[in-house]
Amino acid sequence: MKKFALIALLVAVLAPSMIFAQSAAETTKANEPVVINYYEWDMPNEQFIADFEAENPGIKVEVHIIPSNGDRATKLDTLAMSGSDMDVFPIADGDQFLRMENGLLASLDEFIAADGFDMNAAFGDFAEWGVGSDGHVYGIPYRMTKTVVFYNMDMFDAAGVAYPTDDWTLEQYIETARKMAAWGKDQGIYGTYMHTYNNEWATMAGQVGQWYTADGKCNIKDPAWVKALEVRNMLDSEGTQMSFTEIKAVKAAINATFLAGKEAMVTAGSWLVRDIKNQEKFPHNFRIGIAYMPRFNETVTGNRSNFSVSVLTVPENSEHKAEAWKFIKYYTEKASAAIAATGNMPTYLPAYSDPNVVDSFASGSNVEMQYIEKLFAKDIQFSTNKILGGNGAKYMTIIGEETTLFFNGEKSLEDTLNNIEARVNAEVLGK
Amino acid sequence: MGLGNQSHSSKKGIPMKKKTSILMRQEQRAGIAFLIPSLIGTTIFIIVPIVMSLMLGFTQWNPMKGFSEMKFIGLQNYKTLFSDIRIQNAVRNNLTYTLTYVPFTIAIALLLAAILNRFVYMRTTLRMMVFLPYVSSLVSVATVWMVLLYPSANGPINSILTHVFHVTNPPKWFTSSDWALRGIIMMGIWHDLGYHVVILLANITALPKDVYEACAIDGASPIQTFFRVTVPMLAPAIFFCVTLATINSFKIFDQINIITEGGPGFSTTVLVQAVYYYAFKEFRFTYASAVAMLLFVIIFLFSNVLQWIEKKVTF
Repeated sequence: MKKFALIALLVAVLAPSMIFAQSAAETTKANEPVVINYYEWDMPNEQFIADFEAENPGIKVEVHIIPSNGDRATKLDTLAMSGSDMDVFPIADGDQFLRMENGLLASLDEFIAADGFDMNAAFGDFAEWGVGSDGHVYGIPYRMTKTVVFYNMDMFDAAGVAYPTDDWTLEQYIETARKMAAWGKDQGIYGTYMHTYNNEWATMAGQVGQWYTADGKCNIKDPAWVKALEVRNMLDSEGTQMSFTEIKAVKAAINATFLAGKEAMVTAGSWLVRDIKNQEKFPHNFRIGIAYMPRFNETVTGNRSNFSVSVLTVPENSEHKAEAWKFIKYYTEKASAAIAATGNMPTYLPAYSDPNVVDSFASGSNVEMQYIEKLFAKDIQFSTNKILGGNGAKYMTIIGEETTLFFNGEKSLEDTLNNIEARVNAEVLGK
Repeated sequence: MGLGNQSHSSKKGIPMKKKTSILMRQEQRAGIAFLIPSLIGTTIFIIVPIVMSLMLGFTQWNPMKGFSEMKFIGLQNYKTLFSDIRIQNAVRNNLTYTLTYVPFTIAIALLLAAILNRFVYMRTTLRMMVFLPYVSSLVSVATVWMVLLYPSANGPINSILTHVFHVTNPPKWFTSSDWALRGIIMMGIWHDLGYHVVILLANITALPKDVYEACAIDGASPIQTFFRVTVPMLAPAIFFCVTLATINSFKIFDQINIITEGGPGFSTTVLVQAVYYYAFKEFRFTYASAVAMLLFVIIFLFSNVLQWIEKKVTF
């Protein structure tokens, strides 16, 4: 009985103190800023985050850097699905569309409407990379890559070959690559380089090729795709460029091989400027020029580039969507110079008039300003080798699986095209 | 004196039988109490996921849209498995891997264990060398094997094939759909051999010496002794190794994901990789669960068949 009385007394004494402690904690919590967690693999200078926090004292941004390897998307997907503390994360290369279809991402329509944010004025055609098939906006474009041809000017000078022009064609590209390969043959230098990313062989053919027929079926037999596959295979087999098989075998990378002087030119994204700046990791002392992508044929006009847009997104499970939106909006509007300083191209169009952005992008690289300015030119005609939309990821996976055998010399082009067509129609389009 | 002595009584006059049963009950309770933590762990981390995976295989569900969106679709996922080219290739590759890797690994391990047991100097050093690959990181091992099996004639292995054995068209190994799985199998055998050698060697050294003395007196040759005495007496250990190697071979994923990512084409795609692909690349979690159940059933069948064979052939 004594014991019971003692316990009752303790409960009576401790309970009020616990209640007061709880309410004190809640009071403290109410005064604390909301923490949003931002995950990224290519982080710009964080000064803009400090500026954002100063303007928004109620929000604190925690940055989490993840390794930029092949598993980064899986890591971010898992965080997004598992109800983690992640509030903002990037998605690149068209991977966003499948995530939109599967409900991983929160719709930002409500916030865009509330702030009267003009997506079209801000991003132009890049805006479509953040829109799902249901018409809702799930991602805000913040950086992009523009594929161009980087060439080693010293090698071209030594070989006595003329630099690529901005209006060159695919045929001229092949001819130039062959000349440079002939010059570099004894030194183990290739004429050009085309990586093994899914659909990388289609960066020029994308100017004219169509992935779907008029009735919505697979259109892999479009003459543009057929020619592009043949060209890659031809350049591989004649030794003009490092073959698909060899790239896979040695796990070669665009930045490492080009900046090590293993090839005279390379088709690469504008992100290569980021690595050109990084002399510590990629030491090199040759001059680098930039040319627009070759026109696929004479019907194509203008300065051409292949492009892909990365978007900032908010997981559906985020508990701080409004704060996340505020941060994303600030990021895209105010941090273009910081994005450019990393060697990435910002997507916020008004920033293209700001000379600071171009200077930031060029600063630290040994690429002359006349070449850098090409990337910021307003008259570039864009096309993409990516297949957009919810079915795009699987379509590209099938193409990748089947074309590998063609590039390895294990399957004929005809069989490869037939297989892709049959599989895409059956597995992706259900036709 | 034991608990079975029921005719005695305690000093206080309580019959021993009653006291015994109280003791036994207390021991049983203690036993159950000790088991509870592991039972809870097994239930939460093994039984529940297996049951959930089994259930998910019969549904169509996007986990992002809550349980209310879950739809029962019967055997639809399992029907799709049979027409899925990725799964067909994965099953074929898994079976090829297992039926090649397991016999070769165990046979070579048995041979090495027998040799290490009798005929060599520096036995400890050699044992350590044989075991070393098993404790090496698979990522490092995969990287080394990618260099060894470089597909051109300049690759270390291909150089030997070309210059020593005069092979005119050496294999392209991991970049060829004909050779990639063979390369993976070779690497798997090399990596896991040491583990099985250690188990078999420990069992060989524990075999009774008098049997070997009797064999020697009867004039049995070393080969006869090995096949008619050592191997039969080692049968339980050999079956243990075979069962373990079989289960592990069906779970192969790491080295394939590092080296070939299932390619070229589907030439090295396996079931675990298909589970990963459908769950994390296509977000089809319920279909991935059906693939996982298929893998579970295959491993379950193989394990049971092996146990049945073991009972038939061992003493």
